[in-house]
Amino acid sequence: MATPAIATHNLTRRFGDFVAVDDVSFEVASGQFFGFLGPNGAGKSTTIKMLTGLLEPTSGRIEILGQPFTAGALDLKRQIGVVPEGMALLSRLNASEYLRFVARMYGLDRDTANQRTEDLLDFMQLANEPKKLITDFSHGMQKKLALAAAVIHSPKVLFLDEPFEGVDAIAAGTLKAMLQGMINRGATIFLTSHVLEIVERLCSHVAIIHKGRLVANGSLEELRAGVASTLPGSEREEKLTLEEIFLSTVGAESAESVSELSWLA
Amino acid sequence: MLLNSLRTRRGGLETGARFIMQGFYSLIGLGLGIGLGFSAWQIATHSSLRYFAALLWPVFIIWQVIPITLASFQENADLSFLLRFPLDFTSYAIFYLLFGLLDISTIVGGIALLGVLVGATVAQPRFFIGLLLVLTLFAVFNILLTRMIFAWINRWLVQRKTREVLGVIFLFFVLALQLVNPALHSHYAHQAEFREFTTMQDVRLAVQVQDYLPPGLTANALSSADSAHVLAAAEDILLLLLFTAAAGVLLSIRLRSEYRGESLGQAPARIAKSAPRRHTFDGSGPVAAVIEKEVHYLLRSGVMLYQFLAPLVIVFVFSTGSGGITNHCLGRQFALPIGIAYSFLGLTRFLYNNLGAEGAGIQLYFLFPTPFRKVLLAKNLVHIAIFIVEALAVSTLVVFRSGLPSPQILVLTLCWLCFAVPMQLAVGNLLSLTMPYRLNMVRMGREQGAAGNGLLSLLVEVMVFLVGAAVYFILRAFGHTGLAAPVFLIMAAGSVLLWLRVLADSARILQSRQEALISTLYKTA
Repeated sequence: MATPAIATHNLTRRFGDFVAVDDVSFEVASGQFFGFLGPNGAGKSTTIKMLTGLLEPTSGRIEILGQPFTAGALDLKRQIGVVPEGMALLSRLNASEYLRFVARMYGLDRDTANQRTEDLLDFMQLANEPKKLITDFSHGMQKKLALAAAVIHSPKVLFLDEPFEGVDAIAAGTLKAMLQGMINRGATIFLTSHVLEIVERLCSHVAIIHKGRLVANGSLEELRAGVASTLPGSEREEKLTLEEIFLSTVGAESAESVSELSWLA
Repeated sequence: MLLNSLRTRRGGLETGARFIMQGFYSLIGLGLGIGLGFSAWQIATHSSLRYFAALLWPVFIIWQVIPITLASFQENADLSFLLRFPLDFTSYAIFYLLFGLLDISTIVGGIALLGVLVGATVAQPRFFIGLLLVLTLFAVFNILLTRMIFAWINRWLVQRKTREVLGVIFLFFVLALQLVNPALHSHYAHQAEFREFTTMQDVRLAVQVQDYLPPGLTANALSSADSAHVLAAAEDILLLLLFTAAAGVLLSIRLRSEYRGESLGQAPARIAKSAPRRHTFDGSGPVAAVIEKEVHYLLRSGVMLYQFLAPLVIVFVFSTGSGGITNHCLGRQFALPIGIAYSFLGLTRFLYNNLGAEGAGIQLYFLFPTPFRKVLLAKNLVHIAIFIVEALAVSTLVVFRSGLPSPQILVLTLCWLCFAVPMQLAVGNLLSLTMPYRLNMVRMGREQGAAGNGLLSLLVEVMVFLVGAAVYFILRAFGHTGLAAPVFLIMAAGSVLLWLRVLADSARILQSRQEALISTLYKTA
């Protein structure tokens, strides 16, 4: 069996008495576009932070490309690209300075860094604002820049925390094509997003986390079949969307429990 | 807020440090108030109220100068968060002014004016009402003026072009001031017989001019009222009101722009595709990348540039005038080491909080495959370079004012620096990792959460200086001054080892402080 690109074993993270991620184990095969879903506060960002070295697990193990991953695993970090929560931008640089800085911190030589910076700025349509500081960028532009920085060193594994939030439809289409291209060339992508249509279109495998515990994991077909088996006979034949699978797994009780705010206009 | 701040050890330290600093400044204000109160009592006893100007000028200067000199240590509230609420402009302006009342300058100035009021009232109780009214107006003028100056400086420093122009003007100003005194000396040296006459003329002219400026107007209004010259008093008060109104209008113009949601970020530049620029440094790799990034950050922050220039101004101020350090024998002898030690102050916020400017970008250093010691090393190299430039500028200033130091003092100063610089870098790196706070790159004033770090860094700087002074004076007392240089060099070896140790351990410290560091620097970014 091929070595998974990402594997977690009993991953747990506590904040005092609160268990944010509880005994989570899963594997992401090499070359897979993997969607990691969950309601707000379910533990998605905490998991992705642990997987990228931004947060230390309380217990459990992480393996990336078959090797144990710790905060000090510098060689492994060279193989990883990340768009973290908050994007990790340096607000007083302009886009080109930022990309060159990131590229060189990943060990690229100056010429390669310059070439890739220009390519990415053109691709992301950020090249026409050469002097504008990142602090003055719109949210969508900042997202595109963060994504450019995450891929500038051509990582084998890419972690994306809400990468399409605030990105316009045209740019989102371009980014999706780029990510699909990376998958076709063998990269592995781990994506969290609240936009289920995007996850459904891009990801071949999905895991769902709820209240810190992994409640579903498998290919879209497997998840669909799993949820369909719980439905009455007449509804089993209909093809379920990811949203329906998601709501069925975690959201049903929440949707029902929302009372109407009668004072709203 | 107080209870919330005491929930963590860091918060407790922060609150304690803030109380200590506020207490310290209140003591200064109290001393000033008592001194001025006694002087006011003397003046009022002799019914020569016109001389109140001599008391009000120092209050005015302190009120306006303290915010500039203490910009690094004073916490400055950013009220832009209020704009999200449905607040009308008047309420916003009132909030702005109310926060201004918490300024150290207002506290010190207010206590000083209270001293004047109490002193004069004790001498002549009939002055109370008039004094209260006029001094209140004078206080309002000072509050509006200092808030107006800060609001405009903050805005100007945000724009790169203005910053560059102001920087050049400032440098010319400092140079020009340097040349004024020698030029006058040379002029008067040839015309000794006119010297006393001309000085008297200058003094008379200065007195005439100050009569039309706020401290003079305040004193004249009191004096005229005491002499029952109601019209003259009204005229002075009217002029003082005009000054106050002018400060208020200028402040209002600035506040209105902020209220309308004006961004303090860099103004949008022209849209043009530029040819790829050559890099500032030819080096490659992470260290050079961090150095380049730090230089970009420095050149784009008027606040940071101001911090580096402030010690030059202070050294200049203290090296001039009859009370200047360069006019005393001891002061002249040690002007160089004192000036250089003082120039460390320009770097305090960056040496002791060298991750503070990263904001959300702090996460990058946990993602990069670059050992963190290299990041700190690059930052330290930039700080050393800036310190060298600053120390050279201060040395030039000191040498120009007080002549060349003795070769012994020069050598000892250099040896002490070999100890002081690595020691400050080592402690600075430790405090940066354990007590960071987010630096505001576009607004002057000390940020929230900075009091603990600020107090400790000041203590370390004072200790490093005192250790150097103690070594020198103890050895001099025993007649072994020659041993001072070797002792400093041995201490330097220790501090270099400490610095290298901190760099080597930085990844371990960083790992244990990772969450706190990200949360502190990122949550407010």
